[in-house]
Amino acid sequence: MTKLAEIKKIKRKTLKDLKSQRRIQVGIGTCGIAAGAKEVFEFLEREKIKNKLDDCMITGVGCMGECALEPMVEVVEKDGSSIIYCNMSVDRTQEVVDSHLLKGVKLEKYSLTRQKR
Amino acid sequence: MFERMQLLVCGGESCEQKQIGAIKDALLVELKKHDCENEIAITQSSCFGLCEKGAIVGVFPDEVYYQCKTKSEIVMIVEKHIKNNQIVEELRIKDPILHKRLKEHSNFHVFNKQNRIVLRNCGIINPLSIEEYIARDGYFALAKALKEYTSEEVIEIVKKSKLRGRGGGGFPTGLKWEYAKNSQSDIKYVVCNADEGDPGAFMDRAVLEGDPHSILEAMAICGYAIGAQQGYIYVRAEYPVAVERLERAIEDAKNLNLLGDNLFGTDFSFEIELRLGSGAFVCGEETALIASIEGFRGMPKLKPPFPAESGLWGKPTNVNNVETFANIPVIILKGADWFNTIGTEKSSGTKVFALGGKIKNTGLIEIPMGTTLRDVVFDIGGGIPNRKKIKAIQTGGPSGGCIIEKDLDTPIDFDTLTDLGSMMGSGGMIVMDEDNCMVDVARFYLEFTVEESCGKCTPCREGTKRMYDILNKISEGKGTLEDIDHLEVLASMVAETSLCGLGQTAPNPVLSTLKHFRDEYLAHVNDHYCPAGVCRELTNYIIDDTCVGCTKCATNCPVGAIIGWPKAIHKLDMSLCIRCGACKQACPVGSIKTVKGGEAHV
Ligand SMILES: Cc1cc2nc3c(=O)[nH]c(=O)nc-3n(C[C@H](O)[C@H](O)[C@H](O)COP(=O)(O)O)c2cc1C
Repeated sequence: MTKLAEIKKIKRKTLKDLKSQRRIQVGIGTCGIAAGAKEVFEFLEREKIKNKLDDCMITGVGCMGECALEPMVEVVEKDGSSIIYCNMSVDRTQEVVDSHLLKGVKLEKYSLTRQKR
Repeated sequence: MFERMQLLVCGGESCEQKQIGAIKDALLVELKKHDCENEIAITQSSCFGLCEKGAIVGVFPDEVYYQCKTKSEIVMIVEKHIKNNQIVEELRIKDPILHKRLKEHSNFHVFNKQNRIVLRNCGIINPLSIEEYIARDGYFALAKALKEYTSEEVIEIVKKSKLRGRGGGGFPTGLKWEYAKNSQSDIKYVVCNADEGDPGAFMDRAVLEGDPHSILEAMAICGYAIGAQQGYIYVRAEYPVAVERLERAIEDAKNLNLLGDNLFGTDFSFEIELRLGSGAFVCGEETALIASIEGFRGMPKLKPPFPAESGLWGKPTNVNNVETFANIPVIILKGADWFNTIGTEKSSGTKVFALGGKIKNTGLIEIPMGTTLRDVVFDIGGGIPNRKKIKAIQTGGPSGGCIIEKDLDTPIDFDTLTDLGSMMGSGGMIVMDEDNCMVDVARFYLEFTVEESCGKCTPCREGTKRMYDILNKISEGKGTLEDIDHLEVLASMVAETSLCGLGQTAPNPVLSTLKHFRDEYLAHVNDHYCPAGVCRELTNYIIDDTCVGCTKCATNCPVGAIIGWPKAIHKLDMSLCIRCGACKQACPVGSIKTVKGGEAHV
């Protein structure tokens, strides 16, 4: 039987786990999948293993609302700051992996704030 | 972005006040004290330019701005607002002009200017992880409802929140729950309407795919409130991703005993099952939906009796829309008063819209009720592409109508949209520009209702078909003025005599385009001319002398009907032209125009 205390424990543990990792979120709702998000997601998972990106957690999330700019990949750093890359393809994701994930250089040219206006 | 709240603190490298660093540190200290530093993100923004007011602290998603000068004020903000969700009125910046300025400034830093309640977790949590939902306070509302409130109190909170059904009708949710509670029966049901059949609408899909647990939690809360132990989610089979994630969510919730027997150690038990619909629009209507769950053909029944009295298998049943349910956990956690601070007097909270059509940023938006259509289209939507002029906004899908430019400053809520002759509907919002023909728009929606009419009642089955035929005739240039009169007579007849909402509202697209764009209908009938150049039989183009000779039209013409050399005015051979409009789209200077005259072309 789940008591409130157990739920609280799950919450505390999950929050702590989340803070200890870099989080890479790929929008995989129907709109994202239609635009190719699954390929991007699977590519990221392969890259994680290939490059031993152990502190990166690759995860799928729901639709972020900017359906016209899917697929979107959001990189959330441990301190909570984040950048959203949009219109991602496997090639562009490769660039993000090489530059942002491996060298720590953000790729502003693909960021949502840049592409939207 | 995982945090439940985001604090925006002003500052910047050149901050003259220097105390900002201290304020950020002080905030951190307070958050730690309350053991919630992992739940809150602090972002430093550039200078707001309001240094004389002291430090500015913005709290999101609530969109509240505070000015604070001392440490004790910080203590107060953390303790009251961040810990207990009470806004500290005395420190709040209330000046509307200032508030607007701050808001604009923050847009840059916060994901967007929308207020996300329904979509609070979409795009943030992994929908397959119940732990992540719990980390965002998931299932805490269910615990709170079960442990702290009686079922009457839960209903009272929902009533007080003034939440209205997001499925289209806008019926007060609390009242509906109360009816279901007051119906005497040992067995009752909770049904979630996830049929979402409006063309162009995908709000519910986004919630189901991005945050399935919020619906399960809300249904359990509803079950507790009305005294039901079984819930059904009626979801269309065309949403396979949603179905898969809901199944997983139900399984995970069962494993943690967040669904099942004796939830949270109380004697309340609740189960949820899925029922798949096959994508008939009419099955979104609640009585047809119930028939479909029972295994019959999805056809509506006469109301009353309402489902709250006699619904699924004759038992009292509460049917709510996905988005309605998605609001419930937040209302229970944060309270009705908080919910009432968002939105307008009669329509509290937010509404999710699927923004589409001739607009730059298509996608899903969630805005507080009372936002103007102009803000939606031009601020959030980014305006109309290609420097075209806006012509109308269609809301409410096949049941709704058009809103014209002059009404764009109307704040959106259930009642204002109805007053404008449209309706909120489930949340499709399609923007149209000068290239949209309104006769064609009406025809499109009628085609949909003809297709989707279940055929049970004559006015809807036959009436919509006859209206569709007339619209076809008009768009082929064969219509007469009499046809327009017939259309109006038929429209009111179908609206008044149909059995269910489908037929009752089907004429709306026709009536509203006739009201606002009668001249366009007349142009089709009298002049055999489609001003927007959509109806092929009634379109003739010319290239006028503003042509700059860029050759774009000629390269885009699929049948080689345009001849011309660079820098010379081009010529169009109408005997070859197939009226596809590709040249008009391609022209950068708007030299290709539709003209009256010429014979109706077939
Ligand atoms: C033709 C027709 C289609 C409908 N389609 C839907 C739908 O797709 N989703 C929905 O939630 N409500 C739909 N409704 C409204 C439902 O009948 C019902 O009012 C709603 O589910 C109640 O939930 P609410 O009070 O939470 O809005 C439809 C109604 C009609 C007449």
